[in-house]
Amino acid sequence: MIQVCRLIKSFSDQPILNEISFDVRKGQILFVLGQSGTGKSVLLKCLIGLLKIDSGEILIDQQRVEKLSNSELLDLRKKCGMVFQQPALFDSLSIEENISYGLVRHFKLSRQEQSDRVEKALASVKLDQKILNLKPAQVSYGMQKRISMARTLVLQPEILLFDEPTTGLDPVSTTAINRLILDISKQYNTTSIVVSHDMKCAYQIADQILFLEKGRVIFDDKKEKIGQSNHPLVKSFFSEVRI
Amino acid sequence: MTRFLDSLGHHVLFFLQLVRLTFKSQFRRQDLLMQIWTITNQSLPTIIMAGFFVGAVMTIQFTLQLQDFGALSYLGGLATSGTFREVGPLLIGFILCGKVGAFTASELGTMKITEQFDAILCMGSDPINEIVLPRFLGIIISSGFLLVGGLFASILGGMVLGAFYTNVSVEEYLRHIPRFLIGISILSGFLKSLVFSILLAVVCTYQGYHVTGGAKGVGRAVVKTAVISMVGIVTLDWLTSFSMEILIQIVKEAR
Repeated sequence: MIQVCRLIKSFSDQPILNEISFDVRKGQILFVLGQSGTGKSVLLKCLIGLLKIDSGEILIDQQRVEKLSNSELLDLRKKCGMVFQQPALFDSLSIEENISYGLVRHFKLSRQEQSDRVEKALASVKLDQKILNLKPAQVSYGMQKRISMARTLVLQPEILLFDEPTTGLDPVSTTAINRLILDISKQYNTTSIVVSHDMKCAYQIADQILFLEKGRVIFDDKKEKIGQSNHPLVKSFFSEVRI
Repeated sequence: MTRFLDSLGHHVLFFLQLVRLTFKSQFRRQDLLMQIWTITNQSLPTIIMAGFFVGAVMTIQFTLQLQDFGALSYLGGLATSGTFREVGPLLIGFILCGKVGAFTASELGTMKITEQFDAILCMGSDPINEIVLPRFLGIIISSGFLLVGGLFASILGGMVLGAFYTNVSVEEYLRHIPRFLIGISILSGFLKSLVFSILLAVVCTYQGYHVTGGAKGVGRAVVKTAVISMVGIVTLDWLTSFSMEILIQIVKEAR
């Protein structure tokens, strides 16, 4: 489904990603771990062409992402949903308008079909329909994150990218969001890549873990094998789970 | 100098991109109408108030000159012509810089730093088409409505002050307006207003869309919008005034 080969990305001569390679199969959840500033979010943005790469190959559904034109990229992104570190909701629109933003623009649906899909997406992130007419500023940060997920899910993407989905949330909301990611992946059979520095989350939901340090891959395997790694950084992250 | 030319080039390229997208007509009409309504609705009271007092100020200034020659009956014509050709478009341009330009730059900048543009891209849409273009066109179209509102308020302001301060009756004030306010004066005013609004629309959308560096970056974009557009408006005012004078001379000679 997703193949990345020898990806290099730098910002003004400072290397951020250095020869990154990995594969994600359909329906799998890949967890990208690493300390802050190791290029995890940059990697996600490169995957869907929000950032141009310096060299390497990114294949999504046999399409070379780095070679796509702007209009081809827009088409590709309709298949990929991304949940950002911040909820990135549109302040001036109601929650219903936020969720249906992509639907209105890309699908010729009747008003009823639209609201059905919005309600279904909202239900899948465990939110009540009463909030549909509110503005994003009128709900909590945790709810905004869920709304942001609903806005992505409503387009029924084949690939889901999560950029630090639990940052800024309390432990209860964090667990709820993790469970949601797992449920959504099963329910919609999506391929997911989750970027985080939370080892516990990774252990709860990942099929595979990719560990980055200073822009390089130091671990890429099934989550069960992470305990066998001899790398000090991986070991110190893994010790957090055992505690 | 290199930085100035670099910035100028980027603004021009951004403007050309917006013009190209305008003719491709991929934006939603209701977004444009909403922008026109919002900008006009929010700025009209300020413009009318400012226009009223500008008309009044012009009347005071011309009264001081005309009294000495006993030509107060020409007050309405001269004050209105001056406002239509010069002061009106300039003032409306400045007010739009402070109100609409700063607002648009900060709104777009905040959307940029909170990843809202990236979210739009991820939903398979283009934020320039969806967000920037309706604001760009909205500013240009609204400025036409605002100019008309401001100019009528200035005539009213001049008329009221003329009646109370100089004892020039309303009939007397209005009588000479058609004599001084020839077609070229009206054209000049509207042309200037159009040029100023295009400049402002390009600068504020460019600065807002290209914000980097978090909240500080948004602040910088707002300041840059105000400075670049105000200096640009004064420069373009000179350029258009100069061009219009040459045009008027040519027309006069041709007659």
